[in-house]
Amino acid sequence: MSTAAIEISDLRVTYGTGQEALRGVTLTVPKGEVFGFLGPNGAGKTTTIKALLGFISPTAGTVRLCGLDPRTPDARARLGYLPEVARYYDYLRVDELLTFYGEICGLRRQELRSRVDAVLGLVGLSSAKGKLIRDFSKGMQQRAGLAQALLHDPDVLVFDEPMSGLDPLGRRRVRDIMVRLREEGKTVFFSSHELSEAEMICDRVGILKCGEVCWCGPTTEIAGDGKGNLERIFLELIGDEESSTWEATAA
Amino acid sequence: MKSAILAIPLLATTVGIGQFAHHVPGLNGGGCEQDDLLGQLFGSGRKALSHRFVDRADLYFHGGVHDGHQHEELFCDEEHDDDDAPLDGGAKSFWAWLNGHIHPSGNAHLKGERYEKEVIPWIWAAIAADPHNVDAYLVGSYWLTRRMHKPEEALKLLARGVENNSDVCELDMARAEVCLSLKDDGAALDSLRDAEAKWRARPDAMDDPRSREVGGRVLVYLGILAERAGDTAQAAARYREALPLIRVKERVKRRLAHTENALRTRTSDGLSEQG
Amino acid sequence: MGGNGGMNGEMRRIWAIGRVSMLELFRRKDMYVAVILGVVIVVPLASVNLFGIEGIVRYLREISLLLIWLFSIVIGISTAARQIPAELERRTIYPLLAKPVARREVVLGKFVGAFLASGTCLLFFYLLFVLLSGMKQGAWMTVCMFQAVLLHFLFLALLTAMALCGSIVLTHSANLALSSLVAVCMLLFGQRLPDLADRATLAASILLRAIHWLAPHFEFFDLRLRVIHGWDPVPAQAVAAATAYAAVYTALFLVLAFNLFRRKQL
Repeated sequence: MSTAAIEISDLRVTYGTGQEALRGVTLTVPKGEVFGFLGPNGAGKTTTIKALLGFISPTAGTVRLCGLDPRTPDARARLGYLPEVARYYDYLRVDELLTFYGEICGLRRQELRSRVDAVLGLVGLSSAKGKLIRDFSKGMQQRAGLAQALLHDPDVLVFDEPMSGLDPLGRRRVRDIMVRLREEGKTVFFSSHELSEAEMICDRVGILKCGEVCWCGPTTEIAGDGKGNLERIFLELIGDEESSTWEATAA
Repeated sequence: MKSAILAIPLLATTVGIGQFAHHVPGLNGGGCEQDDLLGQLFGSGRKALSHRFVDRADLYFHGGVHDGHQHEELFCDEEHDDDDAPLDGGAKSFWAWLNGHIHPSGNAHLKGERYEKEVIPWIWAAIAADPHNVDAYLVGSYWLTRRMHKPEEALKLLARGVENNSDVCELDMARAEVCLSLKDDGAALDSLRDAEAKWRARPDAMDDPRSREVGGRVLVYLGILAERAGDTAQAAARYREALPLIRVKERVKRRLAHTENALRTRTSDGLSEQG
Repeated sequence: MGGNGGMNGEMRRIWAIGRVSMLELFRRKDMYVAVILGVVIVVPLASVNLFGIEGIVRYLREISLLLIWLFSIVIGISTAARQIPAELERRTIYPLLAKPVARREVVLGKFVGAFLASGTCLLFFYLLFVLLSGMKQGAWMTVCMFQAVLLHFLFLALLTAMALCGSIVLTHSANLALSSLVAVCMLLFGQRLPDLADRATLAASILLRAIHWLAPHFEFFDLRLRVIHGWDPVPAQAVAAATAYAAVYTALFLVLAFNLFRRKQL
């Protein structure tokens, strides 16, 4: 059995319209690593995550989650996912929502109850236990999403824009959670636009551009000299082409 | 907010039904208001709706299964036999077999007051839908009198029918028939005189076969009442006038022969006395 | 953390998804409108004075049963048609499918939820109906009535499966329209399709026969005429045949739904 939590090998995805969303993405995320997945809008980050979760089938290449096909329930039993746009059943209370997801994950009643209380406490929603989801603010919904991702204590966590909609306190809470997860030996794969956060938390980052990984390496390679090196690398790879395109359009 | 929005159509429906139920025959008055309300709702479609309700009454009489006999049994005591159609109609396929068992075929007539009264709501509805549907009044009168044994209700119904259709002689004739069944010859005579006047005022009194038949029957009834009152000459005159108008002539011929014979006997007795 | 759990686990997941669907329907309160509307229409009709004659009940049965069938079609189709499209539209499908649940379990769970939710309404309507009918004429639950309720539930299961299957490939409004059209037309004309095909032109005849063979014959489950007019109950073998027909057709729609949803790129 492979030691890698996530293995993506020459992943290609072409949509029905002929658009090539991914052109041979290859990535390996070992167990226990926090991996930042970065790229501009439209680079293919969400498509990669969808393929990783089995929502779409690759046109070519393979994806493995803890050595298993992510389209099988066994693979997803080890996975916790926080979607980019957090939407949940607005007619449920947050404890009902978590109970529902816990039952799907196979948690038994007694264990489920204690896990629901624990994750609600972890994300700071204990006081909102009896509230309907539709009465939650955006930040609260994001935290509810985090709670459902952590509920069944998965080995691999995939977060799509986890800081989205959060105020600075909320972002710090998420950062602390991710650090704690790393300490527990969990694997975290997250996509983000927050380069400073990625530089702070991640062991390695990968930068996606036009469906291909154009840079991938440990954050220790980006020496902390106070010059915002990740941002510099990002802009060198992504920003120059976009700004020259803008200048040409303006001319 | 949601409750308020829901309450509005519900309230409107309740009020509408209440209004509708208020203006119905057998309950309260308000014929003109009913015309306005239903006329506004349905326009000329109310006639079709009313006829549909009479069809429904016929369907109910046949246990919910159409048999092609157009309302005949609703008007009279003669009925065709119940059908003994095979349940599956000699089904050739699974669908036909199953349909044959699920949906009743052949028909059974309602028999006995307990079941025959089930026809009544549709007659009520037919009249409510169109107060000018004369057939509905006639069917209603027949069923209330002969099947439900409620001639008083039939008279109330026909009174409303006459009020809403003041130039239709059939309703007065039907009223007279009910009065005769109640042995109220005086009221019957009044109704028959009204019927006769309305019939004679019709431009097609002598041309239209149905009109001729109705006129003939009115005259026959007048003849019978004249006989009962002892006015044989009047009776004979009525029968004589009725004879060319009606289809089934035998009984009238017998009654005419009887009255003419009685007149001849009286005349010859009178002559003998003088002699 | 619990494992996938085999058959028991599958049943638990299906039930969890179904329960949440039912909860949605009851908390949205849509069906209460139908109940109130039904009561508002039927109760005044029940108290109308019909020439002073008491104990007339068939017209009331007919109107009540017509309303029950109409409401069951509306509630059944709208509930089932909304299940999966709403998940996709609200994007709640993503956190759900990221869990260890198979897509066929999601489809089955949605079917169970929609059927049980609509079925609860139906049961409530029939309870009211039996009460009204019994109070008016003293006849409560007869064998024929029991058969009618049973077959109506089978109809609802088939209708739910059809609408659920349609919701995976059609737009919401197209699915609502098509499902309603099929249900109503088969109820009204399904029995007569072979006769109509015999009398039609060649092209129309082929179309009518195709509909006769392929479309679900909802009229098999409609015992209203028997209940209204007090006909004898249906023979047991016909009820068994209708049950088997419903089971097979429902299974076909669900299997089709599984396969369509399994291939759907999200």
